[in-house]
Amino acid sequence: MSAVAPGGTAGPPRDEMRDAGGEVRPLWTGLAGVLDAAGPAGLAGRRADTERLLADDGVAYHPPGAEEEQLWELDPLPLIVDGAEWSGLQAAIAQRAELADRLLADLYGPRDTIRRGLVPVEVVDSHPGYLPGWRRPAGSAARRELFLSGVDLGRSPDGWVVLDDRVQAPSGAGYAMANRRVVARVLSALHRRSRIRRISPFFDAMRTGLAAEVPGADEPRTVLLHPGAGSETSYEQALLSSLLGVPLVLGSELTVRDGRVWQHALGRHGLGRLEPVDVVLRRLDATWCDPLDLRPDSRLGVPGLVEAARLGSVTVLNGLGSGVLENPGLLPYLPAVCEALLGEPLALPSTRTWWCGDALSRAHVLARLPELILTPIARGEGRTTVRGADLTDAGRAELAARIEAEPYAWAGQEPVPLSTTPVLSASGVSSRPVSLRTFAVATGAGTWEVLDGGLAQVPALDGGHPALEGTPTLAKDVWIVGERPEPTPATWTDDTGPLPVVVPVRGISPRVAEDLFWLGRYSERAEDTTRLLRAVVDRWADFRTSPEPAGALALGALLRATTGITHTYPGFLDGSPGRTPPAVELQSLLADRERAGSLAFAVHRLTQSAQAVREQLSTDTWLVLSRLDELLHRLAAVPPTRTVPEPGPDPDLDGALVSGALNKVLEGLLALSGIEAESLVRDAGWHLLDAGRRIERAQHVVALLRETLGEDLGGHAGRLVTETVLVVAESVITHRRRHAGRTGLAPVLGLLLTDRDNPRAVAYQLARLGEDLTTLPGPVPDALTDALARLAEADLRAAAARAGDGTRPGLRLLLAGLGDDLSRLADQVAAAHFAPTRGPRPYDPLVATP
Amino acid sequence: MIRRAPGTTYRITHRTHYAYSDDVSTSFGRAHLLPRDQPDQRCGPVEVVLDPAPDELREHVDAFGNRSTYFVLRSPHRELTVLARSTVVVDRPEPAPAERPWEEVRDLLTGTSAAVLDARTFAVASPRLPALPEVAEYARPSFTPGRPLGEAVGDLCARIHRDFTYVSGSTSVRSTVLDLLEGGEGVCQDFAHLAVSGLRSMGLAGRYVSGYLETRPPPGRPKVRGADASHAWVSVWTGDDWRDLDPTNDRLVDSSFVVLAHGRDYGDVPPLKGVIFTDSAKSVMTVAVDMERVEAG
Repeated sequence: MSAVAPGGTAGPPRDEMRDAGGEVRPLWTGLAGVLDAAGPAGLAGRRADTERLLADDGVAYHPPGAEEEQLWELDPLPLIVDGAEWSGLQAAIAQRAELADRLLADLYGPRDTIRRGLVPVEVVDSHPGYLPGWRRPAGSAARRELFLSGVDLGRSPDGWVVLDDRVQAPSGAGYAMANRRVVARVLSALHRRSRIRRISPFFDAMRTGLAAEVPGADEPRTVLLHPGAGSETSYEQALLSSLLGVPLVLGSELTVRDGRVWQHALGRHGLGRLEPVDVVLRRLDATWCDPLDLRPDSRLGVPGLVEAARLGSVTVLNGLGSGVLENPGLLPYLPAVCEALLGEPLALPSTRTWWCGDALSRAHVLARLPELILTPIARGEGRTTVRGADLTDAGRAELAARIEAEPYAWAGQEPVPLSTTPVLSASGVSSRPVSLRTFAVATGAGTWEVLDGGLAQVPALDGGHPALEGTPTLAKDVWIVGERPEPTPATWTDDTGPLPVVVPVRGISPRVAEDLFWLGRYSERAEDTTRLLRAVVDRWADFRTSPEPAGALALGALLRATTGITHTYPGFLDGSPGRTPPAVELQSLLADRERAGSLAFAVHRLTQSAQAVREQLSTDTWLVLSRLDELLHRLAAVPPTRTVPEPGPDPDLDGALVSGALNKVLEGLLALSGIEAESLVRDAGWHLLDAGRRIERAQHVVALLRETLGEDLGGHAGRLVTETVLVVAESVITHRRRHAGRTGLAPVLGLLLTDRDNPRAVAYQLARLGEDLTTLPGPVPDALTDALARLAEADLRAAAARAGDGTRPGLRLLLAGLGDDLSRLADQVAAAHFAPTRGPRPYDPLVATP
Repeated sequence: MIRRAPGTTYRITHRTHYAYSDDVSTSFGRAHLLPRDQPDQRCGPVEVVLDPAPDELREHVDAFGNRSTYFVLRSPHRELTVLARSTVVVDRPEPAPAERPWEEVRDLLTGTSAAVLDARTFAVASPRLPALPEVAEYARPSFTPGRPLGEAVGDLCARIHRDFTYVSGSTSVRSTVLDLLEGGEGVCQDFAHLAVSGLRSMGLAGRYVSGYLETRPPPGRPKVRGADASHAWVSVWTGDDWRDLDPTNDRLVDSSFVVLAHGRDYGDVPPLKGVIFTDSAKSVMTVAVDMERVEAG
């Protein structure tokens, strides 16, 4: 049962760009030329371009444990691989994928490899990725286990070796696409003249492959199950969803009924519709996929998924049991398994590995501890890969004892001296070890398409060691240079039929519906807050130091109203001696992202809402959002200053500067609203987005009027306030045109409340809401009917009337009523269309007590 | 005259009741509540009955050969009763002593015959029973060189019985073997886990067995209904077959035991588990088991 990977390593690590004599290899002369010509400033420029383009494309990554997504880290210099050499690798990668699929089918089926002694049962059954519940009953037909395979390669002085197999839910193919889009622009001239193979055919092949998974069905319905917008690679999941045309779903959007998987869909034709699902492409690790039969505490999964898969009514890809192959303990056995299952030698060697469950191998590992890398066959709590060389004698003794206690859980591996490749660093160009993740996707029985390229990774810092977990890395694009040969007939099948087309589940999910609704609300809130703060800052600049008493009076009222509209109490209402100075408060309303009600908060939420529905949005969205992010960072960096002449002890704010910045923010928000209006299909999702915007705008106008005009300052100050209201509500010009010369408040109220032709008026919002909500399934909420009736009956002359104490009781009453209607309306829309937030909860556990 | 099959016949009812403080809209359940058919016990009629009636109920035999029941309720409910009823005939003669030295049994666990391969699955760590040095240390004294396997395992079970206190409710379903070793108290599930894990630490194959043990009322007193309960014990591979021992009561498993299911550890064979969708903040579970001997008549 002992088996050892063949081959030995010799010589220094290979340099990918230069040969042993230091000469640039022919394949790399183009890139070397670019590097030589660029000079230090040019190189820094390429790095800056890369960052900017990544931000514009919204390419993000969420490091585990971090609070926020961060920008994807990409080195602009590609790893270049010769096309002829690649063809050999491609065949080997496809072979490994086929082998993995067959081995999984055997391990979860008849287990011939185990019975014939080719694979020790312990290396399989002790692995946490092995799921007994995934075993097929005796005599049942094999099913597809592996659909998308990831294989990490490295190049040692002896040639390419497999470092790792990624078969659970491999990530990176989408990032490879994102990398290419950026690098093709950063190195555009070089990219154009090199004959680089394209990546996109891989995603077409993936669609073909998905369609082929359900042979009987004409239109297999496919979903992409993911852990949610906060997950590590949610950017990539959204990208895959749009590249494949397959909807992104959360576990809570699927349900198992009558032994089948269904998706909750919100369509045109009815509420709570269920659409059958044939294929679940998962980006969720298996244990989280079903709280009934796998991890009971998972809130991400679908109860009954294992049962449905057992019944064969749904295909889960990759198979839920595939994690067992992410297992270095298996590596020594693969050559024999390949001979047995495929009848041919394993084309690509693995890292030299000894599985400690085998007595001879264990002795070998223990004797060579200081030279080897010791790796648990499955990573987990307290189980990390260590280099024997990094341990003290005591540490080695302790590790040896752990291995002796649980030998089957460990493997020893020879370090692979990885080849090095140039990386742009702060100091210029440095050379770092590189590994390459490759991808293969099943396009039918026994046929695989290998992505022409991959995701290369280098340590983010000089001296980093790529074999150890937690080493920060930079991604690299991979250029396969040379024409793509005609596809060769598949080795393992001769089945060639017409290629079916993948059909996604139609309709949008309640989760997407909700996220789009909030995207609408936050887009509008950001815009409203920008207009409000811009007007207030302008008044600040006009009257902060003005001797005119009416101006100061109006400014004070506007500041207090701002607190009320943004719900940021006590804010400007705080009259205590220790209060926040007004300039500081204003600055906080602009730029404090943590503060609900601030502009930065609204923009941040807007970005988060957009990230949550990334797959629904035009890619131009990220262009706008990355600019907004930049602008707000700059705003946050403008401190209240004392450089402006000041009468009192309070700091001042540079009004012109802030106002200019707010104009830029507004530009971005208007662009976004243009994208929302012009680039989205008018489906249920768009109507909810629009409904969100309309409710928000109506609420804003109501709050604006309540906080500013509920009480009349009288005289010039009163007129200044009214004028500002018209500015904030973007209705100055209309007002002048229509009511030139007329004074009094009633025309203003008419323009902002009941004028159905003014796109800023409440009545206009209600009319649009009516259109949106009648398009959606279900009855029109009664809160909308109430609001419409209230406006229709409103007596604006009475509302404009002043009481003896200067207040306007009629207006206050009307606005309070409208405010109630609108919040009820928001609740009713939510109740009718959004996913319930309830997750599954385990039964009380039953303990065997005696 | 019809010859009666030899053995003891039991009628078992296992009733689990949940009361919720609010509506449960959907409930997915998985039960291992129907006894296995195996050479030393044969099932008569068995059924799982739910109140309210389930929308779906399906049974299959799992990878370990256990009967596994899947059910779904989709109507709002505030109470759920899962009732498992079975009739089973147990005929478990006293086995021959397992005389092989334990090291010999351990070394047999490299073969590839079907029986040996099956045993090897149970000789390695499992999700709830990781390999722990503390467990190995605890088990080792029972496995002196050359000791017959039966004697060594009997000694391990006797020590567990002696060293730990059975305290009802002292542990939860999440308790680990370490909790038992450190706290000194546990229930049968913990005792069985320690024995299983101890066997594995010596390179032997151990299974976790879930089932029932017939309780006898004190002499002259009637049997109290519902007083029985789920039980758990250990099964060890002897090189020829499997032998069950009950560390909680320090006795061999004979015809007063009924096997429900076996697996690598509790996680493979909980009698009942599931997930609910509800706003209910509270649920109260009550369990009643009756194991009634059907007298030959």
